[in-house]
Amino acid sequence: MTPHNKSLTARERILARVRANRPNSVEHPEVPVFAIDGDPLKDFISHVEGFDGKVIDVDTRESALSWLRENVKQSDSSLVYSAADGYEGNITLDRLPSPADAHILQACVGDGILGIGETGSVLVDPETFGRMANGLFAIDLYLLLDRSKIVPGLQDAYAQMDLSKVQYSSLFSGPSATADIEAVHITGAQGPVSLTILLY
Amino acid sequence: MSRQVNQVKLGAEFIADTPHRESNDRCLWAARMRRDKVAATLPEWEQMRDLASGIKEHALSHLDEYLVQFEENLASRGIIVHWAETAEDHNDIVLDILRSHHVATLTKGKSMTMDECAMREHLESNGIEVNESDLGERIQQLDNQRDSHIVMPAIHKLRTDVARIFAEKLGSDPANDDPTYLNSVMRADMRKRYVKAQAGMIGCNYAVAETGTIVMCSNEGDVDICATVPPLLIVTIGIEKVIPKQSDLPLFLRLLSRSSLGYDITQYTSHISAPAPGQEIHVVMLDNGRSERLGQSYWPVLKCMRCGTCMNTCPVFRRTSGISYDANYMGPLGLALMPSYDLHRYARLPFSCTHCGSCGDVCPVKVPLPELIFYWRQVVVENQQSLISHDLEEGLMGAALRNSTNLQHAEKLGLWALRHTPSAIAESGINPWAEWHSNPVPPEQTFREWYKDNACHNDKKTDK
Repeated sequence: MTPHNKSLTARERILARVRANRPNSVEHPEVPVFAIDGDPLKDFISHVEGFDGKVIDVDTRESALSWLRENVKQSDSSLVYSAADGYEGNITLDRLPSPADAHILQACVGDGILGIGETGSVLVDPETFGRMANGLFAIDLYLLLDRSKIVPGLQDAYAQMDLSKVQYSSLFSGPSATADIEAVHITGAQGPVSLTILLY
Repeated sequence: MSRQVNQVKLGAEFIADTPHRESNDRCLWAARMRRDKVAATLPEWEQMRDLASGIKEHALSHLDEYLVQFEENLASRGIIVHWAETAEDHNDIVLDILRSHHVATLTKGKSMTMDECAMREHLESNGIEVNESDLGERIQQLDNQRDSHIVMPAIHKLRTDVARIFAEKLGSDPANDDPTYLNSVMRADMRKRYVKAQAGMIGCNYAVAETGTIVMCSNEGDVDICATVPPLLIVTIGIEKVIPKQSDLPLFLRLLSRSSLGYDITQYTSHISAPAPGQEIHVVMLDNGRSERLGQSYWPVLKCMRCGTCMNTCPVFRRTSGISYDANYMGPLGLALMPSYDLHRYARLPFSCTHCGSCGDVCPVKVPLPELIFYWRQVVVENQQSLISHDLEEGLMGAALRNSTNLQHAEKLGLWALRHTPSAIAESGINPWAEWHSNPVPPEQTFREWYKDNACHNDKKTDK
């Protein structure tokens, strides 16, 4: 197959050129799992705070839910969507027919899948928020996280995932941020302005 | 023939603007210092650089296999894959998709690969409203100026510049240049645009072949909004972005943000493996010369994962800004890459380098940037693409260095010229050095003469 043959498709021509030009074969190196020193829980908390997130550390899930009931304001002008078991919001998905409708949300509450000590990240997916747009458009984001689901490092986290089985997933590390103007760090760029993690 | 970029001239204009130069240098050097600090916390840092380089080399040396695997995995989950040989093909494919969905307005995350195709300009000239969603990229779009950095597109600008642009284009308070206020103006404006957008467009940091996953790393949340809110998503991926396995990904993620901005991770690291219900996803795999570069001696430049750390460390880049390169890829990466796009246009770029080697020392995937820059200097000279002054300098130096006798004569001639050329001439415009410096006081002897009289004499005494 010649790389410049016009009777071939673009795909075939590109792949033919890649085949013809590829460098001498290099073996895939063995990548060890690097040990992460320290206490994953303490690391997680310090990294979340380093990314301008807030951690509420409580004993039980029920205590975390109580905290939400006491502290997350709900009203006609403060719409809260919740996908977390045991905590009711004041708006449901039927009032948010398209993802873009989530721009009216003040807050969104969901369950994180796992946490990472090395980076303070929480793994989320569309189920966490009902749909991803809710967790991206809400001004205030609240994530419940079982402390037993905190792993030391990124390698440990990816060892637990199967990306081929999940439509969309994301590691959220603090609220959205930017430093695009004179490198001044600003929390609250396009996504959530605040992120509170309720550890139980 | 394209107009040759004169980085020295454009850079001199930026250097003369002290507030902008100092801000650019300070911001970029701060990122470099943070990078060093976080890298030092990981004892395995250098081992990780070796491994990442090895994985990239492995992936590129089996690229056809991984591209097919990636494509098959995407297609099996309903993602539509297109292949573009050139930038023009890419833009035509994208425009066709958008027209077939009657898209009039879209939001777009920052993508150097799309910028390489001048895609935004193409879509806008065809009547489609494109709203850049990254703050820095939006500033540059509104100012009708190229990016000055691949990670921080408007880092060469001052807050006063942004206040002026936003006041003119977005109606904000021209007297308020507080970055927090300016960010809030951007946020409020973009929220309206996200709601109206009929399509989203994004780039890709890593394409995982084993799982068929598109991985995006960003901070502002805009990329995820572009990817998940509109019903139509188009992703542009350079074919060199493919990595073999899911287990490779954390290694690259551990290096990327630490190298780029000095933070442990980006705020958002997101993975797309399938469309959401009701969503349609198109992926455009872009070649645009990459498959040809793979067969050239400079193929290691394809390992680059666009972290920008080579720019943050480069003493030329920090003082002249990315704008002075007038290129899609700037700084050391631009020097090593842009001549392969247009040798004549970018012939002078490889000479905008002090050969300090710092870019090669910090690159997380060990792209041999200093060697590649030197390689392009050779190519430029061999292809007679260089400046007349470079030819003249190299011609004279070639003659002087041809043998020892010539060099001795040249030394004497140089010393004579230093002594006898009137300062009105020696320090005039024909000597760029003299614009910022006084000429040195000429010594009594050439170094060779001094050495014969002193060092050789001392050596003989030592021998005794």
